[in-house]
Amino acid sequence: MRRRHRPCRPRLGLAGLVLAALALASRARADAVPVPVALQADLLFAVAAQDRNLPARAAGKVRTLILTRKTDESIRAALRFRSAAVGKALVGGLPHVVEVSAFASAAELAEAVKTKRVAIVYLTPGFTEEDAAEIARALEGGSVLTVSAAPALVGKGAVLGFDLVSGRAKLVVDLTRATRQQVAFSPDVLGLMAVHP
Amino acid sequence: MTTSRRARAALLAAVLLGPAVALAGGGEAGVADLAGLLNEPVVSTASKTAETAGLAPAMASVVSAEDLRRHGIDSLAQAIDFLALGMLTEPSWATPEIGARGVLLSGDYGNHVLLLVDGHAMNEPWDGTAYYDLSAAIPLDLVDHIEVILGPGSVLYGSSAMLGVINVITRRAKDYAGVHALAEGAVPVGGHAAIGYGGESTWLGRPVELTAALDYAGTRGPRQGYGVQTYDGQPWGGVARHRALDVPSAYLRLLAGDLEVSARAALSRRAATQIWGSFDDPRNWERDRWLSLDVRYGVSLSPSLQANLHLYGDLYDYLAHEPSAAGADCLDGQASCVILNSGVSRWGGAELSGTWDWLTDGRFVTLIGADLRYREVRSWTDYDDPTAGTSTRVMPYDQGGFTLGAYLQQTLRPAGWLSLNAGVRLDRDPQLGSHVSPRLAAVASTWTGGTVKAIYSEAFRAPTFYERYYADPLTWLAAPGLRPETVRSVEGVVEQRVGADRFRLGAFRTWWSDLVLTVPATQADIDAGIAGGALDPGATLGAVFTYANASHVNSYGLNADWDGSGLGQRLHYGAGVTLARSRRTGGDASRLAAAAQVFGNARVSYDLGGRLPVAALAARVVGPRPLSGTGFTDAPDAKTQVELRAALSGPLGGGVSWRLAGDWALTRGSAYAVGPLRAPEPGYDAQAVLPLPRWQALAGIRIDR
Repeated sequence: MRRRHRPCRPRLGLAGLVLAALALASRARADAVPVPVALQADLLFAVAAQDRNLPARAAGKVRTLILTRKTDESIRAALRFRSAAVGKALVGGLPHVVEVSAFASAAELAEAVKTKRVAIVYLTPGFTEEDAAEIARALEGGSVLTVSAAPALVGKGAVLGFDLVSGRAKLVVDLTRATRQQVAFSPDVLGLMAVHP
Repeated sequence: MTTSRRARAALLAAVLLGPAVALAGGGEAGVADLAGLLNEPVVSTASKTAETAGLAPAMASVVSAEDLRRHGIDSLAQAIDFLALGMLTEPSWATPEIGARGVLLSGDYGNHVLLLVDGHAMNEPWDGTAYYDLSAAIPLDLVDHIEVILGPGSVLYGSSAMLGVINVITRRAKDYAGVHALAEGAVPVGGHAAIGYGGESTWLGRPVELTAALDYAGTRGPRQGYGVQTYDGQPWGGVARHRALDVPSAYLRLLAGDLEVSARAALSRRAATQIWGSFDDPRNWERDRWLSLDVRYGVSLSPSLQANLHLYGDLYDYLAHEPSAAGADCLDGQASCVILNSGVSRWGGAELSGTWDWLTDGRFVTLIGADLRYREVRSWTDYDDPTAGTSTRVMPYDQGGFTLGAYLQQTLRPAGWLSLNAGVRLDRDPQLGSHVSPRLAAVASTWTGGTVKAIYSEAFRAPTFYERYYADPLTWLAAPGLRPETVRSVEGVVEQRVGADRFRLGAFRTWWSDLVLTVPATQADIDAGIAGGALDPGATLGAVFTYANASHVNSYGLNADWDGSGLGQRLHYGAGVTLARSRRTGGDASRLAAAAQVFGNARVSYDLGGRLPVAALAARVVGPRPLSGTGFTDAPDAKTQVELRAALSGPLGGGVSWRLAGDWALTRGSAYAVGPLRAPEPGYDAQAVLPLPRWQALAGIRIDR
């Protein structure tokens, strides 16, 4: 006959752990970067080159603005993305420059996009759905590609986002938002993306 | 290079790569490049960091949930055999055995490959057991992808990661939203039913997601003929169901903020009618049960520093129920018996790790961690005498203790084209001493779409408690002095992406030392065993065995694969091949039983679009390999095996979809001897071989709401 051990009592401890961790948990996981940042950079600049309005928007030089919030993950993602992005000397055959800026307000962002002729805005993790919606309203009618490191902001204000499904990166696009921000991809390119919703 | 040579090179490149580019094409090279980037697998197992497979410090392949669905795959073994590179499974007596790159160590219960589910180790400490058929007891409907990492991986994972590491990653709720149910039936008889749920919400203002699945898979197998053998006066053989299997399992994963909790409960009960004891006795079975809990919590302490805590605990037990009418199988004085072989293991631990990104840009990152584990193993064998109504327990053991693993990994990207990875892990086991497992890897992105890798790595496997302490007064001596097995490996990989296609070619060389083998006990060992009470006085030379660090293996060879997509991602295709030469060193330089030196697979699928189905074909070829478990020195090799799979799946509307799948094997014979007679005897001059099912057809329906 097998010797029976006294049952352990993990449930109470686990429940306590879950509650404690929930109380402490940040929003980081919802905003987590699912796709490696270097691959995001490769994908972003490959897909941006397929935007038919990029040459007109860039006016000779593609400017990418990496936008940060005051979170560890945002700063980390921004620096990693910049490290990968500066290696892309040409985007769509045009010279490419990269800037990092802390997000202050959507109005200031819209002004910067307009005056500096920013072609691509990269939203690092840390932006909320409310931030994305505010940014989208401010950029409405302009010509700029807004890209989110996480897919959750596509449909909330970002034109493009990155997702990881089955161990492979996916591009998620909001076609309505793309039209409103004068981003135009060919059907071949759209065929490679997941269209939101 | 002269002009004519350049022209010839260009022509050769066009001939070799042209079809791939055309398939991937869709017109513009830029679109094909984008498709290629989207096809690039992302792995997190090789360095515990998400990275593209091309940059990972190992040769890695990824089997996606889409691949599983398209090809009607219903087990890890099928996924490995038809869709992955470099590994294969061999259908064995009970559950399939697993090997890689020409090395398969028959009888190891999967303990030379580390199997993870969401990073949680499945190999238990009693015998390192990990299964790959339905007995793996992992709800496949919940699987997001499977990462197959070839080569030694002890640098981050410790024991058992010798042939490689397989990490099964389950789906996130966003990819499994709603309620899912499926029911499938197969001929010869099999069934599969599952129900799952995935949902996202918020609680206390925090994002929460839950995925869960309940799964049952069972088979009753075809009726197969087994040649009649006579053993100890008892007939063995005839016609019987191939095997019966019942596997219920449940898996749950909860994510709340940075906290992740997963739990698994599973049971596998297999008829063992053709393995031991009396033939086709329905009381002849084996059973495994698992209960696992895993908790992870990650916290960002600064932009440069992240810390992770991983707590885990597992319960596992195994019971083999083996009735035998042959007195020779039983204890002295028993005319017949029921042998009950039990193993119980419990283990739990805490792993604390930290990542320090020195430059905060991913170019110089240190990973450091420590894993403190407690494990306890108990095992015994009972000989029940149904006639006398008595039970005799032999050689029970109860062992336990702490182990500690500490690891350090440094990644360095001094230039955009160069990535270096160096790591080392120290494993400390009070009973086995210390073991150091290093790895060095360099990956260079040398030209457009091309990478070159060079990797040196080592791994080890601590001898299991079973190997050290199993004993039987009639036939087996314990071997508590076993040392860890070790392997060293060097490999080089060239990878080229051309549009949406990816080509890889790898060369490897491995040296295996101190492999644990079954060997006959010496007369001195037997005398000592009798004197110490470990063996019955009647134990004789030639009838008593033990485990020993008795084998060394050298292996070298090539891996190559090609995969890609085209026609707007509706066409997917791929092929892989492994060529190896593996030999035991010293003595007769013999080949490894059941270890194929040539094997590969190929697959293609096409989505007809809309409400039309996805059609998929896959093939697997395994070259000749020596029979396992035979004492016939002249036994012919198992024949080349070719297996074909075809699957059709499509939507019916309203969240309902259907699937039809079938497979067919060219050869009926396996690479395993069967029956009690394993050596020539009067009237028995050729080894009987375990027969395999030739075909199976499956139909199923699923609902996603």
